[in-house]
Amino acid sequence: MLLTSFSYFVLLFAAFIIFYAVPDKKKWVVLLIGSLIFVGWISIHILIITLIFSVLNYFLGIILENSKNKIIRKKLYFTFILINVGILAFYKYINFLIDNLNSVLSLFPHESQLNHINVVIPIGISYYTFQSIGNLILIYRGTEKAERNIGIYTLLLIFFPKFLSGPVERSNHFLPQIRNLKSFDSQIVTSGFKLFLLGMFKKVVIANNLSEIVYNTYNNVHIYTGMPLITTLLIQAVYLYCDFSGYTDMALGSAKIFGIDLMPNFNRPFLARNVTEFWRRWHMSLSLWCNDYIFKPLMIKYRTWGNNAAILSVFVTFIVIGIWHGANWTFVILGLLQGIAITFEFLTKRQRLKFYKELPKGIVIWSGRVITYMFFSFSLIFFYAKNVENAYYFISHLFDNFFFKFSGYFVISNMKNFSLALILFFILFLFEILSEYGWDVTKRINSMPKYVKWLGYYFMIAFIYYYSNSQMTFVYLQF
Amino acid sequence: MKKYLGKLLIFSIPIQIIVIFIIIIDPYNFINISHIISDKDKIKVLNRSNESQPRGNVIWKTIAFKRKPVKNILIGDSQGKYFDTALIKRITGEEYFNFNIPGGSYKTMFSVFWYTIDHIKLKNVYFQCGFMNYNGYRDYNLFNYGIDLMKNPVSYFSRFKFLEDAYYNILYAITKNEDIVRNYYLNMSRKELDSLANYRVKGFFTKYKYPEDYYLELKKITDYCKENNISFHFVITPNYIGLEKYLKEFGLTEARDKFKSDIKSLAPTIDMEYLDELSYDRSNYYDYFHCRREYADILVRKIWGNKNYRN
Repeated sequence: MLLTSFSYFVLLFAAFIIFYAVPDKKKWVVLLIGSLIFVGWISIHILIITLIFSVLNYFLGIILENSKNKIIRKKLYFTFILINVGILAFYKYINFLIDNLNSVLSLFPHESQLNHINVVIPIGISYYTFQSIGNLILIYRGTEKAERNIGIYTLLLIFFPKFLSGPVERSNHFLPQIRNLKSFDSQIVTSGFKLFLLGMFKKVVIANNLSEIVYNTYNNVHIYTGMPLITTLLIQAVYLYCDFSGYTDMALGSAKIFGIDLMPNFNRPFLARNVTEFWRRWHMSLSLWCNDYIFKPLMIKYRTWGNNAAILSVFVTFIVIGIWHGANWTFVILGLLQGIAITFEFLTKRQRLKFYKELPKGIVIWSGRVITYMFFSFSLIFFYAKNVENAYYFISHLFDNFFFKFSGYFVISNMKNFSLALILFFILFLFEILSEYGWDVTKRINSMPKYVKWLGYYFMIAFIYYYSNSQMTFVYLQF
Repeated sequence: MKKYLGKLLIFSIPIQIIVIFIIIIDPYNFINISHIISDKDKIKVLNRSNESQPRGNVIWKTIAFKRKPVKNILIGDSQGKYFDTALIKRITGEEYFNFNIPGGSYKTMFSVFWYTIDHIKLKNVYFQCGFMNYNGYRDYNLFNYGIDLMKNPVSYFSRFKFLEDAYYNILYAITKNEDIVRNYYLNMSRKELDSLANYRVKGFFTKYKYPEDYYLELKKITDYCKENNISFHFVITPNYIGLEKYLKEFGLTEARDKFKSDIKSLAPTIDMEYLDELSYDRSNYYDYFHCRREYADILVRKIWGNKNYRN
């Protein structure tokens, strides 16, 4: 059940009606039932796995909280984290591990090869595993009590708007809201619907129309050279942003309809002036999670190492972020590239600042933004490519047969839709620039006459309707 | 809350109007309540363009077959779309259903076959197929249009294309302007048709990969028919001789011969390519693959009018 599907609207609307019809104290039950239906609709198998996982972590949290002996508590803590990581690793990385072991074994003659294990990766597992680990860490640190209501705890992991692709929610942010669900507030509900509509617009109208070039290129990368590859390189970050932020807006909007604020994932990332800042604005729920639970603990542990501690922590954090996306060396390289860029920025900060002083501020800011965008879009070659060999082909053929035409094969079959999507993205980006410089776009829109706003909504709905013919899945659904 | 729901209801009035409009026009008889537009006109409208023709045919035929399954079927792509079932009935006395899908790939045809056996015990299957699609790179499946609608009936209202179809139906019903429903190639000159043929041939043959999967699936289908006592024939419709030049140019003559030997090894095959002088006459074709309706009638008489021919 995709967030853009009609069945999702029906579920969302039915949950919305029932949610506000029942007393406040029972509202969480409506959300839990809605979430069970949502996950069960995707697959009963996934529902069962998710429920077992929830029950297991529910008890692990309570056991951890109840253990008073410091040494035992520490041992339990690491064991429980390992259990979670082990489950994730089994489903997501076991065959990757086997492939690599086989590569090593193939170096030795007469060594037999290991067979793949037939596992289906449960959808959403990367998200709910990180959320349950986060909860265990907070319980261990004593900053949060283990949730005693198993239904509410289960909601932390399977709340339907965020189940498929996050945000990676924090228990100390999410659970208090579930414990105190509020009565109907038309302003909050309306803002939820608006955010949902904006997200769907980004996904269906912009991302889907940009998707063709990215998929065509990466599905048959070896038939392209030059211009199609360069165009893909320039577009792929915009596409990913519209797809993922579109999904996130729909998830945040859906939750908002129930009066729940989920963690934001994006804060105008293409206005970041460097890669370090970029990662504070891109997939924030994941990067913040990694910052709090990997980067900072490592920094503290190895603080005596000076700069080396920061470098080590950055690399470990970004390799985790990389492989979180999937079991492939391309994702390891994706993480490494971020690590290299951030380390470079960290080590050259003083010299760069000195150099920038000589230049006009506007040029420094905008060149930083362009370079950051280009770096990120370049690193995404390792995000989309099916393997390292394909990524290498992509990079090494960027300037081959370079003509200002889409030589060889078509990568864009509908230029009109592609151009429209780009124009709409630039309009959206313009709003982001205005917001960045303190122009409150939401406030301005809200102060418009009702008929203008309604026209705007109808305009968006009409566009969504017009482009609703193809069911495109979300990129981050695979993680 | 009630006030808010009232507001939502008012806001959704345009959506309600669209739903009612589609129910009334019902471009594919999916709802099957209102019949203000005749089936004949609806079929004309769904064949109006290159975009609507494959999609429209899949949806129309999927719904029509589900509603009234027929035990004798023709499966194939656009090469067999002019096989007239009324003419076949006149010749054989039996009802046939033409499930040919313009633009249909082998995967489309496979899906069509498995779909039909879910609805009726088949008696005769005529599986029209050609070399152009016998290519591992042509691996799309148009039948998804039909399956998507069956799986998600609400998409009849939520997808813009259905509203567009409904709009063209009402426009044609009011104006009776044939330009609305005339597929563009029907107005093309010989020169334009040749240029189209050239373009299409290149599209088919530029990249070729032997389709091992298709052969195996065809085997599965023919085996199924043998096991279930279903009479099964492959039909190769004629192509214009000019095609041979391109096959040589792209080095695909052997691949074409392999295709023919593949299917002939699986089931009786009615091979009409270069059968007689008619098949050499360019005026019998639109492009190099698609014969004209009049020529299709001659082929139908040959196939179904002569029992020996089929065996």
